[in-house]
Amino acid sequence: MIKFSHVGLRYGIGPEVLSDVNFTLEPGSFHFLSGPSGSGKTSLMSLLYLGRKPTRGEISMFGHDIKSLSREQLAFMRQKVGVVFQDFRLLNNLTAFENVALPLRLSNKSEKQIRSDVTELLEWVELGEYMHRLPLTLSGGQQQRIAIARAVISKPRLLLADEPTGNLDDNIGYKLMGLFEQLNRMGTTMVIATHNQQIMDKFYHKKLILQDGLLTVETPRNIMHDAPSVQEEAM
Amino acid sequence: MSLFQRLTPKSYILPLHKRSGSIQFFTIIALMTAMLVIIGAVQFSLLSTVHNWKSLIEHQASIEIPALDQNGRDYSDEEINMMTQRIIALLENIDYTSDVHTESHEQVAQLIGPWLGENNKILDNMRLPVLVNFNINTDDNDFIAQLTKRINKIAPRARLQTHKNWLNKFLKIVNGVHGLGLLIIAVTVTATLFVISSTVRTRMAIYKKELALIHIMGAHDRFILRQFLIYLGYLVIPAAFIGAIAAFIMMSIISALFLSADTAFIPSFGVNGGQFFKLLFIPLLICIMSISIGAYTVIREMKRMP
Repeated sequence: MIKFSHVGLRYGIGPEVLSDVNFTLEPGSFHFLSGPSGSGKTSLMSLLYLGRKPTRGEISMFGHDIKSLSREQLAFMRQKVGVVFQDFRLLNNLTAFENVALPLRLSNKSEKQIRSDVTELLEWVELGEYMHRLPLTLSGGQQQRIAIARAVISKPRLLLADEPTGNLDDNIGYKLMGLFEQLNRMGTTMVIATHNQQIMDKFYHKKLILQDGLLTVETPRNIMHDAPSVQEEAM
Repeated sequence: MSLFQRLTPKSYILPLHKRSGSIQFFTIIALMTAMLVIIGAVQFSLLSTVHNWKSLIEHQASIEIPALDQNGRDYSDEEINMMTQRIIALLENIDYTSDVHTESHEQVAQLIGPWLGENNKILDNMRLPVLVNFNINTDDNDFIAQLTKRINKIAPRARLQTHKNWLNKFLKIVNGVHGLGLLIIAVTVTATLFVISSTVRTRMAIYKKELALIHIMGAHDRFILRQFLIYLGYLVIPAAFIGAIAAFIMMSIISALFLSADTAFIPSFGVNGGQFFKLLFIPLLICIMSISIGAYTVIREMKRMP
């Protein structure tokens, strides 16, 4: 489904922030992406949501080599990826409803469908009564739920979340992870970038661990016997 | 919900029109349009003036037969009359000249009057020259020199004036002003295009994060382009038409206020219906140019995104 082969990334003429990264994400898998600050997590995430092009190596997403895709096709590809940013990145001039509706507008869905889907999802994340409020009038937790709703509204095949529990207390963090697991059970491939060891210990999923731009994969013991969803290649 | 939000499609998601700079941009476009309309009207006036003068003077010639001879002695009426008739006969027998006629005493007095100031009583005691006007259908200098010689044989102090030199000098000045007008139009249009291009680039820099976000979410280039086209349309279309209307109002006021004022310092905007119609195209052209250069700038800047 998603395959990174010998991928490297550098900014300008600086050193490589990602070196020879190889992995494959199978459909419906769930992974944590972990590593110390500056290890390249954000850079790897940006490659996954096609926000950057690798300086070397090949990335294949949903059966397509991204190098061979036109700008138009890349935009279609990005619509298949949902992203939850640590700082939410909501558009503050748009209401909660319009923020969540944005991915559907980008894919030219009808107003009728947008109205019904967005209303239903906002009810599901318990923000139905706040749908016409601007993000800045809502709490951090409510903003985060809007960001998650926006990321999942178009039923992405891959959902990326960057430190989603970073600003939350443990209880809400666990609840949020429960929500991600629920989405994963519905078929969405998940990659969660996190520092939170407690979360990684509590939820048994494979870990992509970045250290100085090098990627290793760790599989928790209780899922060792499952079919591997992440395969190390050329490591 | 603001009027703008009601008028714009739901796909206009970035508040490009909101932050500071939009009023200044609107004003600059309005002023540039007003300036172009006024310069356009002046250009049309100049063209009309040139056309009028050329059709009045070109191929026209006149012979002035002074009332005094070389020694300062008054010619008698008979002498003057005889010289005039001989010159008329000469001109009527030449192929290149036609429509020969003399100006009446009153018409000559009217021509000379302004040169004598307000004391027109002098004219009553003054012997006036005779003015013979005719059409001449050649620019050949040899022919004109020959004709002058033959006329001077009849009336030694008679002067042949073809207006050619004067008309050439006049056309040179008018064409110079016309060229200057075109240069100002070119500079104004270029400045307008630069303003639009830099405004779009500034907006893209201000909304860099938002643009990056919708790009990551899968916005096509045309979706992002549409944001800027709506923004430019929202500002440029009213600005251009308000600028044009302001220019027409200003020209009408100037024309109305100074219509009766007999001074050369006030410009005259004598545009006809067809020219007025052409001036109406200036705001339309400004809109088309603005939106085109805006679209070009956005597309060029977006190519920097992966």
